[in-house]
This record gives sequence, C-alpha cells and structure tokens, in this order.
Amino acid sequence: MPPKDKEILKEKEVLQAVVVDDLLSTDFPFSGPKGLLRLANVRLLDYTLSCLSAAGVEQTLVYAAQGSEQLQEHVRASGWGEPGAMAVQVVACQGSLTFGDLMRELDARNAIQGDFFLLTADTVCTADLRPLLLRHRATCARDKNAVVTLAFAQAEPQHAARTEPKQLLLGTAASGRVLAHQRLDPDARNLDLPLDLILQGPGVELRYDLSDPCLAVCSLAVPPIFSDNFDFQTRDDFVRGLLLNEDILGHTMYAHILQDEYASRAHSLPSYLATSVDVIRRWTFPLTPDVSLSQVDRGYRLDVVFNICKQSDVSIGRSDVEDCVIGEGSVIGDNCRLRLCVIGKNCVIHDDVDLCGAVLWDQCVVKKGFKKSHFLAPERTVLSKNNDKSISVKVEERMDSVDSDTDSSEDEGEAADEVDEYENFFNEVQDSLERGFGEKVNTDDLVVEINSSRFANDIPANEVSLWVSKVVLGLPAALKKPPKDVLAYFRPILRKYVGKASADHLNCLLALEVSAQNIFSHAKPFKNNKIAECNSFVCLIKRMINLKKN
Amino acid sequence: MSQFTEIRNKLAFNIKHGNIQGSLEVAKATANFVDLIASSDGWTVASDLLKIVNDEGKKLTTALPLHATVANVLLQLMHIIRAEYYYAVNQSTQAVQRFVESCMNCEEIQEKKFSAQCPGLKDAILDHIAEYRTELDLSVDNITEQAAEQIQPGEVIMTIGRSSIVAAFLQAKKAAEHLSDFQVIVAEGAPQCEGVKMAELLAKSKIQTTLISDTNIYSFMSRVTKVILGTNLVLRSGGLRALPGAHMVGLVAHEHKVPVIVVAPTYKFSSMLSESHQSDNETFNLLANPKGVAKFKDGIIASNVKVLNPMYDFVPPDYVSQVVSNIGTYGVSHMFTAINELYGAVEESAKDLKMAVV
Repeated sequence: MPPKDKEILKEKEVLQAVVVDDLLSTDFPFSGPKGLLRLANVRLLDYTLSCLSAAGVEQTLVYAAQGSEQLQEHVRASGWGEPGAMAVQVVACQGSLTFGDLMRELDARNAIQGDFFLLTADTVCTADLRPLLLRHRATCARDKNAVVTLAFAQAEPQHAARTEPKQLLLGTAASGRVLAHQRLDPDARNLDLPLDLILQGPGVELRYDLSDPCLAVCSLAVPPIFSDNFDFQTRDDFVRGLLLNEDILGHTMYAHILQDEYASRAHSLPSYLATSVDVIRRWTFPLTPDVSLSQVDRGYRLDVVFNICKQSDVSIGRSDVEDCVIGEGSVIGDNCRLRLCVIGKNCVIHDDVDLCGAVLWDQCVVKKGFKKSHFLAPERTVLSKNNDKSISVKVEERMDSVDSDTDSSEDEGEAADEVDEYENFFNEVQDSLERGFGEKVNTDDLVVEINSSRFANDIPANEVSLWVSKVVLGLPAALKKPPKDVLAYFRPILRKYVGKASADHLNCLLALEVSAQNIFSHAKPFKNNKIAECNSFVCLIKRMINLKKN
Repeated sequence: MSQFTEIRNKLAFNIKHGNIQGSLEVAKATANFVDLIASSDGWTVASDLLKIVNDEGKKLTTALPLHATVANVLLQLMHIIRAEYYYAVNQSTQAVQRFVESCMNCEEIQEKKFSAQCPGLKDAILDHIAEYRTELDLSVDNITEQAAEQIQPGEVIMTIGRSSIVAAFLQAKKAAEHLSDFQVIVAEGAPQCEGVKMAELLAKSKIQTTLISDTNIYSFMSRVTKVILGTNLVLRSGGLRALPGAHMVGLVAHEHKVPVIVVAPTYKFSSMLSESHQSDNETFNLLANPKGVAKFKDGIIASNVKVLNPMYDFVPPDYVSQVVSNIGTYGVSHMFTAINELYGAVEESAKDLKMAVV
C-alpha cells in the first residue's frame, strides 16, 4: 500500500489538448498563422478552442509554426485562458514548418502528462469529444500497445465535404483497430490490400465513406514516435508509418467513427469554401458566429426567416439575400442576389450583383453587374466584370482556378519535380561532356563535374552508372562525331562509373538498349540509312566490348 | 479581470456543459453568484453594486447565450437591489409602491443615481436576496400545490415535449388523489422527440399516458379538455417562447375552445415584450443544428437542401388562457403587470445587461 503522503503529493491529472498550427497552404492570400484565418468572419482558432472547451479540456497548447505573437494577442483579447476557464498557451516554434516538426517540438518540450487531444488549427468539430476520450481510455486498458484513436466523420462519396483529391479508404477490425489506411485516386481501378486484413476474422470493415478532420486522442507514447522518425512530416505519414511498422514497434491505432456529428477541416481552398457553406447552413451549430463563439467577433444576430447572420450597421437594399453571414458596416445595393456568401466588414456591394458561395474578406468592393460563384476574395479586392479593367479580377480568378484545378496541378507539379532531377542530371552531364570533348578537357575534371552534378540532383549511387552510360552512348549522335573517337575519349569515365559491380554492368546494358532503341526509332525508313545505323550500332557494341577488355 | 472572474468562468462552464442540469438549478446557481457579489466587500453604495452585477452579468450572459434563465434572474435581482435602495432612502413601503408604479415613467428612474449612502442597505439587500433564493427553492412546491384545483377528475390533458415542471404538476395531482382518473396525451415534439421521455416519466407515476406524433395533434384535440404546456419563457405580452410545435398546439386548442394553461415559475418570466422585440443584440429565435432533421453524411441533402431547425416557437397571447406560477395563477392579460413588478419598466430594464440575451 503506497504511503499516504505520496497520494497527497500526486499531481492532479490535467486534461490536455494540443492544437498544431502548421503552415497555411499557399492557396490563401493570408500572411498570418492558420489559427487566425477567418471562417465565416470568425477566426479558426475560436472554433477549435470552443470545441475543446466544451469537452472539458483544462489546458490547451497551441504549437505555432509562425505568428505566435498574433495568436497570443488574440487569445488574450478573446478571454481564453482567464482563471476558471480553459488555460491556453501559445508556444512559438521557430523553424518548425510542418505537422511533424511541430510534434517533434512538442516532444522536446516534454509538456504532455497523459492522454491528450491532437487537432490542427483548421479542424472544425461540433462533436462532444468526451466519448472519444472514454473510448480511447477503454481501448488502452484492453490493448497495451494502443497509442492513438483517430476520429473520422461520415460523409458519403460525392459529398461536397469530400474535397481531397485522394479519398480515404479505411480498414478496421471488429475492435476498431486500424488495419489499412490508404488514399485512393478517384480513377483507380485496382487497390492493394494487405493479406492480414482478410485474416483478422469476422467484423472487418472497409470504409470509403469517411472524411478525415485530423482529430485524434493520443497517448504519451506519440510525441517520441515523431522524434524517432524524422521523416514523418504530415499526419498521414505518421499513420502510414505506424501501420507499416506495426510488427516491429508494436504500436496499434484505433479508429472511432463519429455518429451524426460534424467534423471537418478547412486547410485547402476547396475545403475552406465547403466548410464556410456548412457554417452558414448551421451544420456547425453551436459553433456559429451568432452564438457567442468569439469574444472579439461578436454581435451577430440571426434573421431566422432568411438565415442572414449579420452584425450591426449592415444595410441591405432591395435585394434577394439569403443564407449569408455579413460583417458590420457592409453595404449591399439593390437588385442583388446573394446566396451562401460570407461578407466581411465594411464591404461595398453595388447593384445587380449575383454571388453564390462567395467568401469576401474585409473591405472588398464588388462593382455593379458582377456575377460569380464559389471563390475567395482577399481583403480590399475590387471585383468587377471581365471587361472592366479592375486589377483584382486576376487575383480572384487565380483563386477560382486554383479552386477548380487544384488537384491536377498539384499532381503534375509533384510528378514533374521528380522527373526533373534525373533530367537535370542528364542534361548537366551531357553539357559538361559535350563541352569537355570540344575543349579536350581532362577526364578527371569531367569526373569532378559529374560528381558535383550528381550530388546537386541527389541521384542515388546505384543509378549514376545508368545515366552516365546513357549520356556517353548518346554523345556520338549528339556531337555528330564518329563513335570510335567519342568512346575512346570517354573511356576513362565509363570505366570509373561502370566498374566491377554487376549492377553497374546491368545498368550499362540497359543504357545500351535504350540508346539502340533511340537510334532505330529515329532512323528513317530507308533501307540504306537503316543499314548505316545498324553499322554504327554494331560499331558501338564492338567499342563497348573492347572497353570491357581493358 | 475581477475577483469574481474565476467563479464566473466556472459557473459558465458548469452551466454550459450540463454539470448544472435544469432551469431551476441554473436559476439557483445564478442567484448564488449574485449573492456572492452582494456579500463581498467590493461595494459601498448601491450604484457600485449595480455596476458590478451589470458587468459580471454581461460577461456571464455572453458566455451563455442559450440560457435565458440566467439573464432573467440577473435582471430580477437588479430590480430588487433598486427597490431596496429606494426603500432605504425613503423608508416607506408606499414609496416603493410608487417606485414600482412610476416604472412606466423612466425619466424618474434616470434621475435616481442610486449613490446615496444608506446604512443597513447591504443587510436589507442580502435579506431580500435570501428571500428570493428561498422562493426559488419552494417554486416547484408552490406550483404543484395548485395542481389539485386545476385538474378535475376525468380530464384528458394534452402536452407537448418534456417539461420537468409540468411532469411534477401532473405527478402531484396523481399523488394527491390516487384514484383520480385523468389521462395525459403527450405529443412527441419532433425533432427533439423529448415527448418520449415525458411519457416515460408520467407512466412511472402510474398516470395513464398516450404518446402521439405531432401530426396527430389536430385529430386528438377533439377529445382533449385541457392543454398544459411548459415553456422556455413567458413574455410580457403573455405570449410564450416555447419549443417548436407549441404554436401548433395553441392554435388547434384555440380552434377547439380548449383552455391552454402554462406552468412557469417566475424565473421564466422574461422582460422581452414580444417576438419582434428588437434591441442591440437580442434575438427571439435561432436556427439550431439541422442534425435532428437530416443527416450531414447524406451528401445530397447537405450540399443542396436548406435544412431548418428553429429552436423556439412563438405562441401568441391569444392562445394562452392562464399562467400558473409560484406566485399565483394569472390570467394572460395580467402578465404585463405581473412582469412589471419583477423587472421594472420596459425602458428601464432594457438598459440593463446590454448583451446577447437570447
């Protein structure tokens, strides 16, 4: 039996939450921290803190990648953190940019005492989080290896809230343990699942009707996992990493599906616009501007008949306005049609404007006759019809095109980056070798150039020989010199890179194959030329064999 | 930040998150809070006390916009403080009566600065607040005592949704006369469907209960002899702010000439005039979460359909016959005077607590 004084000295367990305020997506023309982005004219951080306060969280730590002073000021002005209410602490993390970096900071500061809620600053959730916490504790009591319970909201496929380019496929066992977590391409026709999934026994569920609000309950073991794995940058990395290493490290994850509750994220432009509409449509009640969500952005009154949530001093002309949130001092003209719009403070909307699903931040001006739907206009934009020479239409169009094309352009960009490295390397090596041949540079210097190129483009060691061989074999055609001379000149380079290793030999043969294909594909369909090409190709092979002998 | 900040925040948290359940408990907790302020040393003249209560009250009601009881209790207690001051200054009950009557004339009130020093004022105020709190404690009993006269044998009573005070009212009648054979028809009160819980409560007390859907209210009304309603607020006009569906019950009852009796303790009497009461940031009604009506996960509904789920219903005073409260039974036309006694003039109390009273 433990001595009595130790019991008295034991610290009362404080329920904590960590809000990760990582870098805002570049979609948004906003320079502040993510927590201060306005959703329906109220800062995102207020939504998150309200949700946590409702769950009885006693201490919230906000880890901010940037703008921590602004966040601190907002917290103070809003009255969060007063005695008796939830304590809110903003932690500035210099140099940390991603979710993973901020979690590593969390681990370094050792601020966590037990189970804690983990959310991002852009999570909007009306669910009562207490059942989630209870479920996590019950799971941990049953399964000693459980480290995190992820919460998911339900949203059928084709739902407007599912704005991610790749949708989530979740596989769970009967106990709720996560067995598979994949992001699927909407056009994918096949999917790969681990065999373990099928072998788990009855009650295995595969769900494609979930959206991920980035909400979870974590145990003490989670921050060290981020420190141990430096390549965990996003939450998806973490989830995938845990799943992959389940056998080695033994950590398990569980999933909790929120029933009939609203939870979503506003991290990208499409999801931000979708969440704005949800707030207007009251799905996030009681997290709505008129129900005292924020001490700073207050004074919203709801007109029940037309669902207009507006502050004082708003003047609306003879217009058809329905389902809107309007900030103070805004003026709306006659003959307008506004639906599902969020209008900031002191905006001016002239006559004959038709907007649907628009989000206008403070002090925007919309000129007469403007008509558009589903866009974001940053502060002080002037919007007018295309044939008007207003400056900011370009800004607003960029927002819109990002909205519709965001998925494809993102994918292209990524793929392009990867290929670029090899292409870069290829081009650089080709340039140096061509120049080297022309100026009769010493091959050792050329080797140095190739090496520096290689490190600059981060080419793995086992692929260098492939690319160098490709370059060298393509040089005779590029330089329009006889292969004999070219190959003889570059023999030392080939010898250096295609050494004794059989992998290198294979690479070289592959390069040979590719070069041969190139030669034949470019060859004109005239018999003579083809023979000429064949001859040069045979020549090449002979040269290669001779090289090998040396 | 004041000495009461921590207590106020804890109170707001407890009320908001269900640790304090039911409007009676909320009213008691709020009265407790004002008592704490009045018994503290932070004030010497009445104007100071009024200012502190006003400031703390403003912050409390801003944190709890969906709890009208909090605002009601605060306003009623502020009126009590003013009345006590007036009595202390003039030392006569007649003066207080004149004060109450003069409440229609707000210029007189404005002239009174409430800043004269009055020995014994603090004790008088504390006594009066203690009386108020006792009244709160006895409110349920005072109401249920009247059940015996209100309900006759063989009555068929209709109610909608769940109201703990109406349940207590009916249970008291049953307890008083075991053989009284009244029966109760409970309308479920969609989308909250709290009527189901009400039917359970009544059935446990062996009252003959029928549960019906809201759509059948009209068809059952021909058998009903009395409608007994609970409410969120009773307005100065005698109208009600009640749960959705109450207007329909009142309308149908009015058409069938069935009397409608509202059971409401004084902390549900509101200083709001009517449903179109306009002031800085008061709203009569709110649109609540549509999740009771439709599911968010249904993509077609969530993206394309406007789902309305209003929080309250307005019942016009024409549909209400009587209000049974702990200070007696009032005909609906007397509500205005009764509420004036609690709050003072419309103009005067409108200046109090400029905050989000919902």
